[in-house]
Amino acid sequence: MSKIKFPSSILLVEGPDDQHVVWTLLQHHKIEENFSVLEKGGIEDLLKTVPVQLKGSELRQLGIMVDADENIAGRWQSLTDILRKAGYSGLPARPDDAGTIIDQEGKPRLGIWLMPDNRATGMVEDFIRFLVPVDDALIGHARHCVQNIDDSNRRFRPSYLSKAEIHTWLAWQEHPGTPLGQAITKKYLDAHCHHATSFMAWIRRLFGDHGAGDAQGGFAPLNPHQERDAPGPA
Amino acid sequence: MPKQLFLYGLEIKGFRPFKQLTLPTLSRVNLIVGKNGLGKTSLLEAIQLFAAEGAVSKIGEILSSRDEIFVKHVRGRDDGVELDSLFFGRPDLDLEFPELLISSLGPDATTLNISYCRSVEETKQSDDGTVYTKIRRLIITKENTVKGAAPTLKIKYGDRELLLPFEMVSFEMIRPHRLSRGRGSDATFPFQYIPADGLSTSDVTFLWDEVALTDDETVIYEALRLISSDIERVAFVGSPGEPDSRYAMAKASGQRKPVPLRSLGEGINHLLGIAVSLVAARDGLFLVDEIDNGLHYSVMTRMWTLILEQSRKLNVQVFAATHSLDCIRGFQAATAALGASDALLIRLEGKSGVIEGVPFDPAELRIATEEDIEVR
Repeated sequence: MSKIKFPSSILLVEGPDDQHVVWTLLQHHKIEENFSVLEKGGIEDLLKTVPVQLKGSELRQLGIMVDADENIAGRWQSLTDILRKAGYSGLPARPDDAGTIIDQEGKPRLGIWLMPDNRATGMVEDFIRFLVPVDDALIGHARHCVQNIDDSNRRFRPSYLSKAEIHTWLAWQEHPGTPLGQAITKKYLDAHCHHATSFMAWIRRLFGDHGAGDAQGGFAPLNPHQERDAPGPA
Repeated sequence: MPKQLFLYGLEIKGFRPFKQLTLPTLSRVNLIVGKNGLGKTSLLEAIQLFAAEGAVSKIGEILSSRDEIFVKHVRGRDDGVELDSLFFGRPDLDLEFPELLISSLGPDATTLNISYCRSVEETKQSDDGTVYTKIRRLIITKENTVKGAAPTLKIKYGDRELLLPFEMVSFEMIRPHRLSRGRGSDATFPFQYIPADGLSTSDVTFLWDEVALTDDETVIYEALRLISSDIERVAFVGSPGEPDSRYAMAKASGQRKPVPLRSLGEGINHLLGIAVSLVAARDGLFLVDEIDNGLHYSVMTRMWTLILEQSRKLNVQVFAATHSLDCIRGFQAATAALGASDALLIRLEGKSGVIEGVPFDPAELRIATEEDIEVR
């Protein structure tokens, strides 16, 4: 018996922060959690996992949510190289702004989301930055502080500016140091802003065939038909 | 000391459940998985048929093992009904001339081609009118009207071709005996096969006698001790006058009297069969269906360690089939512990007879195990 709850529907993410952000957004958007979010502890292990996941006999949908980092074209290239080797053809030359979905006959449905928004360089923290309410008084202050650290005292890479900014901002909330996912729960962040809604639409398109949102609120009860097939005498 | 493999890849067309099966990559030790009915057993049969270069005795064994023929008399019949199961889709042999191909891929690629046709025998007189030669001529037309045309198997291996009219084949003579006696038989490449229901006691006894008192005995004891660590010695005993009904007795350390080997636990006979077959397959092929048969999951890793190590030492290419997740996990653990790269798990998948193999090398298998990805 698989330890994974939904072995046929998998979303691969880089780390625990990404995982919690996805889980919390699902909750806020009242989308049934009908897929498993697996965190791979970094981009390298995630990329190694992709071809093996795609060979799994139960897989029906695979989502890949990774940071665009500093080179979005390079990240896209390394992903599509792996997918081409796994038998996918006709891969788009660049990511779809709304999140890429690839349906190929006889293959699991593929979804790719490059954090933050499939266009910009960056990472999950940049996505979270989009979720800060527009009228927030502190975010500008946080940005100012972080940007004004002089080079001799700045201990993080320049590409981590937005990461430092969001964590600085989180340090100034009612409960300082709240992790990203919980910051959504505690409503420091706006789970229904345009960027969050767009990400959730991608999730629905990817996994939605067998589970639209539950209008009643909270998690919908598990549909028994979505359970893993009985592992008969395979 | 990397030695050559017998099969680097395999392609099958038109054989039993396979319209087309392609396995582009094979390794030294290959574990075949896949849903029922996809053709794991048929794949093992096809490999044997290829290794035997299409020997008619092997065809008979394959048919008889699936109860397609027993002592059904073919002589005098021209419908060849028993043979239709050899070909994909069970074609009507009155209407079709089916063929099957089994090809090795890679270095020294060779094809075995078996086709159903009709032939006539003609007598030719030489010019001086004295010498007669009988030649067999293939009938190309599908019409069943040529007088005296006999149902015939055309067996072509590489560039050697044989026309075998049924009149000359007595499948009656082919006992449903599935043990290929390796080098001595018409198998030109040595191979040993253990079917899903295991080897018979007489098969095991025969193979044991080949190993007894040779250095290879250690392999056998190593295998038996996987289940019963205190086995000291094994001997095959029988009643006077009944040389064919010998069975294995084992002496365990600390025990005064020997006990029947079977009494030492479920699966030990299967493991004995695996060990003697592996040794007998030296420099050849070892094929085993449902390798997990009767074995406790705790034995799997050690069994695979033994097979991986010995297949290298004995230069044997291994094809094993299983349904068991424990068996797959044992295979994975053994390949990881040995750092083995010469092993592959292959899942058969596909539909309507078009089957492909999805390979997992040891590194991929490790990821699949860690992440609980279903490889079966």
